[in-house]
Amino acid sequence: MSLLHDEQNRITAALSKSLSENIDTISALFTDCADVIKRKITVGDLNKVDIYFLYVDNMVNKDLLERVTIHQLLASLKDMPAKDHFEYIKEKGLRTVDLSEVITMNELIEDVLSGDTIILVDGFDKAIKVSVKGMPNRGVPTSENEVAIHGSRESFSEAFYINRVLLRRRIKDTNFKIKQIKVGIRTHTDVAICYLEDVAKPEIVANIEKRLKEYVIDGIFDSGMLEQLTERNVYSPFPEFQTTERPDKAASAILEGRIAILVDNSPMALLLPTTLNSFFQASDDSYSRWEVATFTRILRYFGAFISIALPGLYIAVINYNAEVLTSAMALSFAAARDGVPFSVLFEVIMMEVAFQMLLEAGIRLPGPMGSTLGIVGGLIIGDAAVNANLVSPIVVIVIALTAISAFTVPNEPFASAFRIVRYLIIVLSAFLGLFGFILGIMILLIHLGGLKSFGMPYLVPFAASGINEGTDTKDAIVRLPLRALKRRPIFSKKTERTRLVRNKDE
Amino acid sequence: MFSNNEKISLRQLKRLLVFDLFSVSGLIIPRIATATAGRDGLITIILAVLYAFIYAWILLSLSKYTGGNYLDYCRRSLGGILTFIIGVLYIAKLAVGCAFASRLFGEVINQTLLKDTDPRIIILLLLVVSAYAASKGFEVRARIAEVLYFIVIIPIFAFLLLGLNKIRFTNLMPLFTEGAGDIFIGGYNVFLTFSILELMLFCAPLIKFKKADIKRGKRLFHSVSHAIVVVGILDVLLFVVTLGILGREETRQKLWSMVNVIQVIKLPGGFIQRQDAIILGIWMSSIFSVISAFFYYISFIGKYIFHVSKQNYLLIPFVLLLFGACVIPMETEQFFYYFEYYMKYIGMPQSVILPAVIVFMGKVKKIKNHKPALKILLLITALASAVFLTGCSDMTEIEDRNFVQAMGIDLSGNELTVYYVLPDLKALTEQGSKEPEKLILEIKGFDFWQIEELYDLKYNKRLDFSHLKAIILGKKLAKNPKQLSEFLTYVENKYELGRNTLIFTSDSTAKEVISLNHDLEGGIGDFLDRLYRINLKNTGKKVITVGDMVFAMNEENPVISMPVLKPGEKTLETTGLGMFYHNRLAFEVNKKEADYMDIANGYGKNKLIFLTKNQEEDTEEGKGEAISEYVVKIKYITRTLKFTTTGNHPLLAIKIEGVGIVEKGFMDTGMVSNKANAKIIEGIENRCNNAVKTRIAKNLEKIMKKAKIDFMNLYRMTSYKNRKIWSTYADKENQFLEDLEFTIDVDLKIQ
Repeated sequence: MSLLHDEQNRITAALSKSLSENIDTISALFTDCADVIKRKITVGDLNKVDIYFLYVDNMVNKDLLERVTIHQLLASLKDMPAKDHFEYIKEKGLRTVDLSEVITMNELIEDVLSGDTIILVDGFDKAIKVSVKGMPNRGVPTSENEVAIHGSRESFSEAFYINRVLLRRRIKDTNFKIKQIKVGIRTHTDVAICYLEDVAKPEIVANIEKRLKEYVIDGIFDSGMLEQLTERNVYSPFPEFQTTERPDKAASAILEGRIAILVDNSPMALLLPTTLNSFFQASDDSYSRWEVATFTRILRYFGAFISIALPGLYIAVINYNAEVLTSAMALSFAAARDGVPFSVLFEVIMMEVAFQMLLEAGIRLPGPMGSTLGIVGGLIIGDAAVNANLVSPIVVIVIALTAISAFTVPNEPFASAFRIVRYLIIVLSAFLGLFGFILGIMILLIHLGGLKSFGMPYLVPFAASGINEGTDTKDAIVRLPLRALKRRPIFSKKTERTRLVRNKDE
Repeated sequence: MFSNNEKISLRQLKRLLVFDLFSVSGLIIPRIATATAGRDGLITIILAVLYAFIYAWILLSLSKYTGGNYLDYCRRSLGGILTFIIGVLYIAKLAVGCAFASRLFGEVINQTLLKDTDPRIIILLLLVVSAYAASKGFEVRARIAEVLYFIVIIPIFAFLLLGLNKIRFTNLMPLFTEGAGDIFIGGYNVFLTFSILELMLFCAPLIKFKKADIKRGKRLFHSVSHAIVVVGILDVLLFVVTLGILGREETRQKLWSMVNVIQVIKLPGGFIQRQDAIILGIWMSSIFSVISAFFYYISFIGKYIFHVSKQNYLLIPFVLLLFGACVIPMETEQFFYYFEYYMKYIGMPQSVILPAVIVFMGKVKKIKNHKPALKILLLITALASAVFLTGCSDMTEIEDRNFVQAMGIDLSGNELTVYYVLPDLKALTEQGSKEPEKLILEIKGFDFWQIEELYDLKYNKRLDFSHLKAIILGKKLAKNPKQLSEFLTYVENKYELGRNTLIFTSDSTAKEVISLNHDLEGGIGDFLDRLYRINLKNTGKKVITVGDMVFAMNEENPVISMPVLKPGEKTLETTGLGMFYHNRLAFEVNKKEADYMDIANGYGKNKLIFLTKNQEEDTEEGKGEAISEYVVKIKYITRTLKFTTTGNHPLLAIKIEGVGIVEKGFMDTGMVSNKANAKIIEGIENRCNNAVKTRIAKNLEKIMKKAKIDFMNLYRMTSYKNRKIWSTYADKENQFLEDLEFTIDVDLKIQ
């Protein structure tokens, strides 16, 4: 906090009619800010008036700025009147419709820092904001983390305004609302709540608006921070929001009555409310034939189960209940373990941690080096470890299968939660065999049973399967043909559940 | 949005009730029903379901009078002090039920899945995780039940259906052999397992109805009835499968005898060797539901009477209290005895009398009717308990076990010699092979427990019977009923030793058979397993397992026909059948006699019938095989038995029908007319039928009439085939065999 700021970092100074006073205030605020461009020029012919330009370098489209403002101001204000300079400049001096008035210093500074150009006119305690933003961005990138065979390749980017366009391009409806607020007293990060006004439940919109205002934070740099700030189940590894980088997925969620939250500088949109089932739905499920979509869904659910259960089940069966296996398997496992110097528990945890380290290192390393690491770590070290009898080949298979299965879940934060829960099941299985395994699964189920995302039980539609006339189960483990999905899911308003009817005119 | 109002739908209530009613009672119902009414246990279950309907109706009616909130109504009618006492009575009852359920499952898990783990740890974790579920509230319990419903109930139901083809009808029939009193008392005893319906009094206000629903009461009763019917069907199925497979004696021996049934039923597909651990695991998921229900209602009532701000605060003290109650040094059977006694005379009457009195008092007074820290602590306790268990659980890693593949037992004098055949793990990893003699462990002792103890002192790996494929009995042991019974008792009490393990008898000593381990492909265990699975089963031999022997021991009279092995030089041959009766090898037949015994028992598929060049020699022992003119292979066979009486004697009509093909001696070349062919075939058919008929008749005369060995178990069969004969010859088996007259009709069609 300084003399010019209050405790919430808002500018306390007021706009003055005197341009020199305003320039002094602005100069004080932007001391040592080399990127801020400030220039005072005089316009008019007979009646001259001083104006002051203020913008952040490279956050504006300079070419456009020259054409729509400076060139126009210098060339078209020869008949400047003796008074009402402000209105005259606003009406005649600027060749753009995207302008507005700013009446407070706080607003003025926020706009400048957001990429707008401010023109202060001498003798007026207000300013003109000209929106000629032109910040560097990656354009519309290709989706890398949620790759789909069918459908759009577009992905959200860090540029907030591009993300808004990507949604608007998909939902051309006046009911599609984008409520924008700023979060972070220093970062002033733009956050947009996107929803269909007549379909989304108003209480959920109000709820997220309330939650966004619950905390005052210095800055938000990504949707992940906002997610942690607004969630209720802080101590659960399972996310309360679904994240996506795909605009088509976000748009589809909005059509279902859910809410998408866009955060400036974040290429990920947050979707809410969410359920366990949502995390297993990939965007191209809707674009594929229902049989194929159903088969892949079942694979994902099975993959998720393997990802959570396989190492624990392996330990429980190997150490306590080998009778479950066929004799050939049991003997083969026993023979493979013969001479391994570590216990099964240590062996599994060691391999699991080694794999997670490889994964983490692979993410952090540049592309070509990442793949080299995979080969060195996975193949060479793995093979050497088996040959040296440090680990049994069965454990390598178990861990590899577990890892592959985890990647079938099309949502990384959700799959990460599974990775953590896996260790609980491993430990319980190691000490209590199948009983421990069941204990672990029960603890997980009880935990999931108690989770809610914005009032929506996490286990819907598997728990409360009768709701919404039982139609939510049509797009769960099994995805019925598109024509059978006539109703919107439980996320939407009760009166707006119909989404598909036969066209009677045809 | 879903509100956090602790209300559940009728569908959720239905599923929750199924779980609560079935999870514990399913384990003990076969025992309760059999103990009081034997075979008529089936009727007691049906009666119990009827009682349950009436009970539910009474409770729901009383609940309606209280306007939903039972405890509030109670306070208004009887005042605070009496409500407190009533609350304590309910808590005590729920606590006893909870302790019994935890203890029972603790024991089942301990004896089946975690043999070396301290049962107290199992119970503690069971209680903590259930309390954690209860802490999440009624809604969460309902959600979990809804998710688990199809994962638990459907597989168990399907599994029990698979078990139906293993049942012996002689164990189930005839019905109505017990007195009406026993049946009604049995019905009441079984009905006690439905006592959890009492909790409807408390949960009625927690059901969500549509505001304008004027048929709430009807809908509620309909849902409860639906749950009772589902549980009733499951209970009947459990009873039929348990009694049908284990027999009356074994079913009533152990409180959770039905768990043994899980071992016997085999799942299709070859991925799982023994599915009992998997099914028990699935069943285990449901136990959390019922124990969490106890915890939920205990804390619910406790909150009301102890005036605690949050009901979850009461969970930790109750976990500790109930843990203390569960580990009281007392046999589970004894615990059950007291529990059953309490429920019969106090618990059940109390569940109707108390609400009735309360409602009556309310009417008299004309009272008008007018609702995360702990959870985390519970979860941490559960996790911490697991972590602190390091060292408590005595696990043995897979490479530290000696998986016994085959077991041979010889008897000399009073001393037993047991041979354990181990797998050659080194050969599996292609690291060479162990010396063959090291793969057979030989231990002498006077009983099996002593032998196990000697093993522990001599060897460094744990003895594991979970992959035991075959047991070979030496002839002397087979003929010694005392020692054989002792062995079967050992098997019965050793859960790890699968009931579906194959059993053979040697025509000399078990050692001679076992010593062939090195010469037989895959070792003796694997050899015998494949011999049965591929060849013997394919030629119509009935699979005989150690479970059949245990069953025979408990039920006393059935005859078990066990394959006899004859060791040769580097080969092993099945030479016939040994008939075990009253726990001893009572009679032996050769291979050919055994074949016709199988045909008489309806197991003749793929058997060969040899017809000699000299028609008169068709039925003579040993002739056909040597100089056969025709060989007929049976493709399909059925056997029907009909019992009637002729004069005062029982008459048995055996009818054998089937289809065969001529494998040798006849070829339709087209050179001979169809008519001539038909005549030849007719001739073969007649000779074949005659040969089968004569040989079966000889077997019946020789084995049944002379040796008095009921190898077809006809005497037991009369129990469901002809009740009159059964009651006439009750406990007079020899007389029955003596009096039995029979006719044999064989109709094998040659294709």
